[in-house]
Amino acid sequence: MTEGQSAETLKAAVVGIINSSLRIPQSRILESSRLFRDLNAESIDLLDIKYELERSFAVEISDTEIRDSLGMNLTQAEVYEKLTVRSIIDFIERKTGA
Amino acid sequence: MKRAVITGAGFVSPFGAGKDIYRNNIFSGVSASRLITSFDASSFPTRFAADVPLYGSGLDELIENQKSLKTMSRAAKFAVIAADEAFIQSGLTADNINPYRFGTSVGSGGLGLNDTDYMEELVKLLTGLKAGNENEYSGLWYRTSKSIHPLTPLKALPNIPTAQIAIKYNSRGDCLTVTTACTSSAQAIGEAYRKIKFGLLDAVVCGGSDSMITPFGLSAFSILGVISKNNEEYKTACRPFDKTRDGFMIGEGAAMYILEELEHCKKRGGNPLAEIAGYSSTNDAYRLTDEPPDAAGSVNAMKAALDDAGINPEEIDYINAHGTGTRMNDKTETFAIKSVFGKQAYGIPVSSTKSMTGHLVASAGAMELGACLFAVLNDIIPPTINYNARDVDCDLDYVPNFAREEKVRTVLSNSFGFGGQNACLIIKKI
Repeated sequence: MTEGQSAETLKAAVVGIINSSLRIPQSRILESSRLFRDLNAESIDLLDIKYELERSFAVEISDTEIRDSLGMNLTQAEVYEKLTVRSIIDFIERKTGA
Repeated sequence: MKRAVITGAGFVSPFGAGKDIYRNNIFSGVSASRLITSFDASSFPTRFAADVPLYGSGLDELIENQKSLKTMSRAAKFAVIAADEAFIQSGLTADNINPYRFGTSVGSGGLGLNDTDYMEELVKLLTGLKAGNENEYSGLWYRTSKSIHPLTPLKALPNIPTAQIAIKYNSRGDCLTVTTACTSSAQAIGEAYRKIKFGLLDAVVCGGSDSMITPFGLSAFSILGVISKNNEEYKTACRPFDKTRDGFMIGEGAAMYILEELEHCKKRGGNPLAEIAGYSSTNDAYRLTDEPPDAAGSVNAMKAALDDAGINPEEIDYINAHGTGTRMNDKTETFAIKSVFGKQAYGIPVSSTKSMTGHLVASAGAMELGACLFAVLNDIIPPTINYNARDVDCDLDYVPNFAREEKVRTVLSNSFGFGGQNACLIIKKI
């Protein structure tokens, strides 16, 4: 991924990573989809997704960074509710400055 | 006491996936030996093995839950594919088994460190270090975290194949993973049998899976000096009980069974295939890899299994030997069989199906119980192939080279392992 990459390309790349990790058809992965509630992700899937995001976008992501981007001191239930495909796209946009 | 019967069986053997291909090949006396092509083994003293001829997408497409692939080692994939076949044959469904009375018991080995990518990355990282250079070590975590996929360590846990099976079949009862080298799966099946016998469970998915045909596995067995180095004659190199034997051949695969309490099976209209009638395990308490000259551990395991089954030695129609093809095992096992059965030993067919499949390590006992099951179901005794030269220390009837049609009612299956482990199972026609 490069700096000048368009938002659409970035979104497609994020959806591609989620698709590959969760083995869910891309057509079912909406921006509003909640990873845990709607896409049946489990905690280890987030490790997988984080690792692939780091490699694809050449960024470093700390262990809690994605979670903290949703708000500080959230409960597990709140994370499950707030962690959507859109929130990950937003997170990567901020990380890459896209 | 309850009775435990097999109601389903599934296999991923060095001949491929499925019970038919396994049964047909061992009854036909076919060797699964092949030159290793899954990695460059040209620098190793042994360059052949009995691998499962399924790789990449050819293997992965047999896994129903594609997402689970990312946490599955090769051995875990074998385990789930074999369990699928066993479960389907059993006729068990979510409606006819109480999930809390449904257990899982799987023999597993190699600590899962048979994931080639993981091992290669680790070797690269560790061999890149210069001894005494603290800076090299200080960067180790960073390089490890960036080059090894975060889910890979999960594949290394021995209980992951067991857990994948439990999840898939909603088996919420007692769940056990046995890691006792070459007796792992025999003990896993034996422990499942005991839980049914003593009324603790109604059914158990049990068996074993292993995959050691990797640079790590080949190195380990080569260093220990226990595998054949007869590369020139690799198709016939695995020669249990033969005078010219020079070690075993590494195999891989999985064998899984649905073991079920007899009345539970009858009540739901299931079809019992055979009965597990006896089991025992002992330890030599002698040396880690040497067997004691008096073979006391294996002798007592065989005797205790006969006692457990409530049968006399003369009722055994066939013995599936541990029969690795090492100088020591075959001589000591022959001695042990003669110690248990006396003069009758000379009249009992004894064969080593490892001559065809190789030694499947943690899954050996489970795979060989399959050979015993087929013998009981078909009244055919599988042979010991590559047997041509008689050893004075190995003087029993090893069913040389060709299967034999004979009435088979009761079979003893031996499994022995590093650490002085001994496990014996008895399977009966029903």
